[in-house]
Amino acid sequence: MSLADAPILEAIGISKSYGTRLALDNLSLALRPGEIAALLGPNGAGKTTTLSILATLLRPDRGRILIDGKPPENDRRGLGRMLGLVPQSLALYPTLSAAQNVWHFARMQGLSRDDAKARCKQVLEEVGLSARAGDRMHAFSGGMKRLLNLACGIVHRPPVLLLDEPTVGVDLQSREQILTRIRRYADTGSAVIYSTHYMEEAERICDRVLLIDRGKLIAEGGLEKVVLLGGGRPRIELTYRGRLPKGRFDSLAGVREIGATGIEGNATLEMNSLAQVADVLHGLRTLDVNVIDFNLHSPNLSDAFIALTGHALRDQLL
Amino acid sequence: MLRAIWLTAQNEARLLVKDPTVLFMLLFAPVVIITVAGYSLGSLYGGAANSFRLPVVNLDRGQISDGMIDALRREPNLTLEMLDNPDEARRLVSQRDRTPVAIVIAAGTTAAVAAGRQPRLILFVDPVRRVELNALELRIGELCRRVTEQARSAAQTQIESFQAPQMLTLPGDLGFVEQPAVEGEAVSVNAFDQYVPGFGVTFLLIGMMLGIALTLFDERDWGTLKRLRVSGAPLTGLLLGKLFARIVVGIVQMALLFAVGWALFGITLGRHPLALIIPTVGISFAAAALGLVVASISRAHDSVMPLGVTVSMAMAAIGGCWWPLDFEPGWMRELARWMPTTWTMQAFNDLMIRSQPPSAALRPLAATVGIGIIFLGAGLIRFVSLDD
Repeated sequence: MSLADAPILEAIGISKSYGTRLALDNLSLALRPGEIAALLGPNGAGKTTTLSILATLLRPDRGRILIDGKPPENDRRGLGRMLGLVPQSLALYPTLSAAQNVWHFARMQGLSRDDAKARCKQVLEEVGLSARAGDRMHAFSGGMKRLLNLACGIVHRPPVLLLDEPTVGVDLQSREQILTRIRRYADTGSAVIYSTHYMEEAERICDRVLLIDRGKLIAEGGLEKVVLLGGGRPRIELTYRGRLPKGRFDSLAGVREIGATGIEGNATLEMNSLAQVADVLHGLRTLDVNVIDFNLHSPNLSDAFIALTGHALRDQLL
Repeated sequence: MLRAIWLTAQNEARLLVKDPTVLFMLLFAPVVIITVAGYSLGSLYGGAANSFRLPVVNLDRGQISDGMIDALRREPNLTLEMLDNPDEARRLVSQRDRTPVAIVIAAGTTAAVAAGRQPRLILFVDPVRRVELNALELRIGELCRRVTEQARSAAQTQIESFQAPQMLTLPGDLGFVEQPAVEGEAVSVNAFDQYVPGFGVTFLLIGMMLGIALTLFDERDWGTLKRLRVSGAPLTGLLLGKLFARIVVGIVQMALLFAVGWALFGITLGRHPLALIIPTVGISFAAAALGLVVASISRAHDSVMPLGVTVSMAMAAIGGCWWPLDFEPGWMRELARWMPTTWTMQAFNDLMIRSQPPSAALRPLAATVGIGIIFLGAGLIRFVSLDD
């Protein structure tokens, strides 16, 4: 492992209980500079507890975390400055202006007056809030508040950024902006943990997926690997005229009808690979079935998520 | 409509019951204030009166002074303390609790009365205890009249028995004259001298407790405290920073009150007005520390107001901010020793009304800061344990 690949943030066998409820069970993970890891899991899976422990806000009952190879207890202040937190709920002073908010957190993170001044200007430009720097936060739209929340978390350029659902409740435009800023931020060499319930966001900006459930890490790896772990296969959804005889796809290896709706004229077929689409369509034509429309669906993170964590509502289990 | 009212009322009751602190304080707060006020002011409305020490210096040692002392001894609420030195009597009044006045019976008083003149007892008084003084002076004046009437009656009998009235003089009247027990210029006290610092401290306490507690809840609710904690900033440092800012505000608040009191109500600021900063700093610190305690034991925003106001008002009342400490029963005066308000009011009274030097405020400052440190320690420990 090269020096550049050395983890900047590690959790080693951490466990945490709240009373008799085990929230985290011997969870280990590592994060390297420049990568964005999606932290996924159903409600109550342990995401917030994991983030709180990584942010040094909570102490694990067992196990330890290392920031840049060192336990945070050794240098709470110095290592704390390596972390940036963007919590799900806004962490801002509503009566202060955008600039005052950023300035306060910059100074509290140890930046000198000159550095704080320069970084405030820069980060507000980065998130597109320069023109509203003097306006009070409570007058901002939801999207602007989220951008300011992000700005306050990255003003000191932390090598590790912890994001807890940073796009909740914002419109598509604001979400685009936030995701773009995060990707750019990681591209400067910082490591990012991105906790979210939006699978498409994770697919779009994350390099790696950490899927936890019931306090355990149940899947980890690149996007493709986790999707494969979910066992999902490509699907084609058909709308047709005519009649599909039984056993019509027996000659095509791996093709089978799933999720039969019972509705004449609609069918969903599962395949081994998308390369079989042409064979399926050709077979239908030979059977004198007229395909009016079809949709292709590649297996994605949502499929894997459901496959690996199940359909049960987790909130009911808490 | 009725259904909406009924369901809303039910839910409101449910919410209230879910927050026992609010419920408790809503019921408990008035009980606390009524108890404190009832015990403190009970003697004004016919309850058992408080007793006082009365230093007496008898330089006369004659018939009139002996009669006066006998009469004083028979007073149920006075405990006489016979002294030889007027300076000692003056010192006791200026320093000792429960001693609002001392009497010096000058040499030759009996002879002066007998000669038909009008000698005066010297009353060393503590101007801070004006209310108690008025009651005591009324009683002393009554005793003076009684003693001189007895003397006059005896003289009248003597005159009649001698059958030679032209040869004798009827005794004169015995009266008294006030002298401030404190050294320095004589001070004239008005009600604002008591009320400006008293209510100033009360509102300082309320403002400080609500300010500190609510701002800490805000930091929690806004999530800013969490973000700051991630930076590695020590929680203790964050809390002390907040307290420091509020202490400065408290000092400015009191300075403004004294300025207004001086300009509009003519209160005396004593011989060293700048020395008022000493008790002001002390009470600001103690109140801020107590605000931290209130924040740490309140469960929610809604709990802060009743808890903070109850504690502030009770502490102000017991500590003598609203009425003289001497009004209070003994057990409450003992309790008052543990209140920062008591020591602060003592320092303000010493500096403003008794015209004491700044050094007089140092002991009360030490006591106030000491109590404040206990509050601070308790608040920090509780808050940090909650954070963990």
